[in-house]
Amino acid sequence: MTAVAARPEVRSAARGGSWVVYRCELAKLVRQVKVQAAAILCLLAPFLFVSALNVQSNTPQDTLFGRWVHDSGFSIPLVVLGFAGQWALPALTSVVAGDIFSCEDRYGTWKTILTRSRSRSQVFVGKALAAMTYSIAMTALVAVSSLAAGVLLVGRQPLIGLSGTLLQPGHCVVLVLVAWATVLPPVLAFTALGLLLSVASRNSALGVGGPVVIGLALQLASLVNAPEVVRMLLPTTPFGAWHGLFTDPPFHGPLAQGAVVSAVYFVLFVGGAHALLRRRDITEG
Amino acid sequence: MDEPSSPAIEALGLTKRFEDTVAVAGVDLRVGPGRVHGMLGPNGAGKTTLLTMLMGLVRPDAGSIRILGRTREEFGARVLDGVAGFVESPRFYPYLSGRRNLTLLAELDGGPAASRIDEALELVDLRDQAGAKVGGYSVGMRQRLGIAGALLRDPRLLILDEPASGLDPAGMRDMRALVARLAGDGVTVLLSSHDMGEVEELCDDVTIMRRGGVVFDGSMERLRERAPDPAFRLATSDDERALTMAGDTPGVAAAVAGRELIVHAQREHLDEYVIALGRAGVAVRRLDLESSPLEALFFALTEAEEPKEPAPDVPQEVAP
Ligand SMILES: Nc1ncnc2c1ncn2[C@@H]1O[C@H](COP(=O)(O)OP(=O)(O)OP(=O)(O)O)[C@@H](O)[C@H]1O
Ligand SMILES: [Mg+2]
Repeated sequence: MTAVAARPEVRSAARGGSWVVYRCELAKLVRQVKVQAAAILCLLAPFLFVSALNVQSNTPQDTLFGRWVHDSGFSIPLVVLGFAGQWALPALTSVVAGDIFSCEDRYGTWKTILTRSRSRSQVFVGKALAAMTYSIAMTALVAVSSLAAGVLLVGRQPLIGLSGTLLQPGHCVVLVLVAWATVLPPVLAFTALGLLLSVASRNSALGVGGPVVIGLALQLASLVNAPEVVRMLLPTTPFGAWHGLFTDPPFHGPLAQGAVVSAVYFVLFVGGAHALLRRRDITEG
Repeated sequence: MDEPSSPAIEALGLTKRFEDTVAVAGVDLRVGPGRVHGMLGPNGAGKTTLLTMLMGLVRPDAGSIRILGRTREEFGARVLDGVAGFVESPRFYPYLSGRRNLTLLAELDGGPAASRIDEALELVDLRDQAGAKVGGYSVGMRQRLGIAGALLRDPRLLILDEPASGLDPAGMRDMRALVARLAGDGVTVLLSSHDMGEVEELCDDVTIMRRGGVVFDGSMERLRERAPDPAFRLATSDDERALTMAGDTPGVAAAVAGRELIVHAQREHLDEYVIALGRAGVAVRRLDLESSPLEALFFALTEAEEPKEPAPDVPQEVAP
């Protein structure tokens, strides 16, 4: 048996603590099979979707831009966006957000990471940032891959906007990317919901399934004629705010509204999750 | 920050309730610097709860904790700088290798510990299995990995909750040797255990808990002084006669236990007694140590009927 040599100072935990936790969490995430599977799914699903559309003549008429799926590749990322906002994005984000805290309960590893001179707040911030990074990365991945699938498998034809004006390919690329960017606020709000459920339930099934069920239930609630003010305050409504980008003239009101609503949910959920984690006793594991 | 003479751990009036259970009831604990301090107690005595409070995992309902001269109120999570260890069995990410788990912990510590990881793995004899996923590790291998993870922090205070649990005899021997060596290097060790022999071998001081309270706190020598005579299990060709003779031999007490006798005596009195039995034509068929003096004391302290107050003969002293 040899001695563990020299005694390098365990560096001060205060500065950059969250950043260190964040990097460790990312390192853990990229090694998880479910994250690798989600990335592959995001990359391939749009291509499979377009391939499936290409072998049939009918179109998803009831979805915005659905009728143009054979005429302009730029309709593809928008159709995907229309579907995704309903449940796929909440589901995709909660795969990580709903599990990132409760997995420590499942593995019994809270005590392992919380006895390394990192404060609970630093661990919380690092983990929350990692979950958000994943959510943003996956959203960007679906956006880019569905745009690529459309352009490569259907083509770069101009697209007819929601007011009937013809949008040129260059303009379409920008609009499509901006439209996808506008779902980031509600995506982050749902990520925060996943974080809250993950901390509160200590159970990954609830953390991952909760946001999806809640998202779907709220979509339904907004379909049955809820009063406009209620509809406006639902966290799912901002997923549709991008529609205004494709009218002539464009209207940005819902985008601003959606951003504010999402920000409020985000702050409430993240604040709640943080408060719960700080207070709890770690006795399991 | 902390002078050499100031205690490594100083906890006062620590209390923790879980619903109806008082897991730890107003415990004072002082662990001297460089000492190896044992915590003993039956299941549910509150040892783990006490250690989780020291490590900041569980918030005490009352009391104060000072570790290496620092409090959590002043230093936040940095109160654990220089402290390492684990409570209950150490846990890791099963989908990562042992080495990857240690790398993550080293990163969390913020140290450039790549080379130390190999040393730590070597030290706990896990180097060959370090590349395998922890999910496939045995209990003992995880225990070893836990010790390696603690050593990465190069602690001045090591807190170990039943470190030998799950280890094979060789693992236990190595673990004890490691603790002894770290103690020799000046590391303070607080370890809980169910094994009186382990505590007797390793520890300078000992705290014995029962139902959330402290029933003994003092040095190992103090504990030994208080220990009763060892107990032996004796089988003879004529137990009735042997029992009567025990009553006539000074320093020997015997009682019937089933088909055998339990004899309490110091070794020299026991020798006299056994020789006397032989002279009297009573054959000794079996003579086994039933419980060591310290075990006997441990049982007396932890199984006595409801000692609301510590019994008068129970030493209550503070470690030197
Ligand atoms: N999370 C919890 N919820 C409720 N009660 C708890 C919890 N953790 C511990 N307890 C109770 O607190 C008491 C002390 O438990 P603790 O685990 O500290 O004992 P211990 O001395 O470590 O026992 P063991 O030797 O079995 O490890 C027990 O009565 C236990 O049931
Ligand atoms: Mg215990």
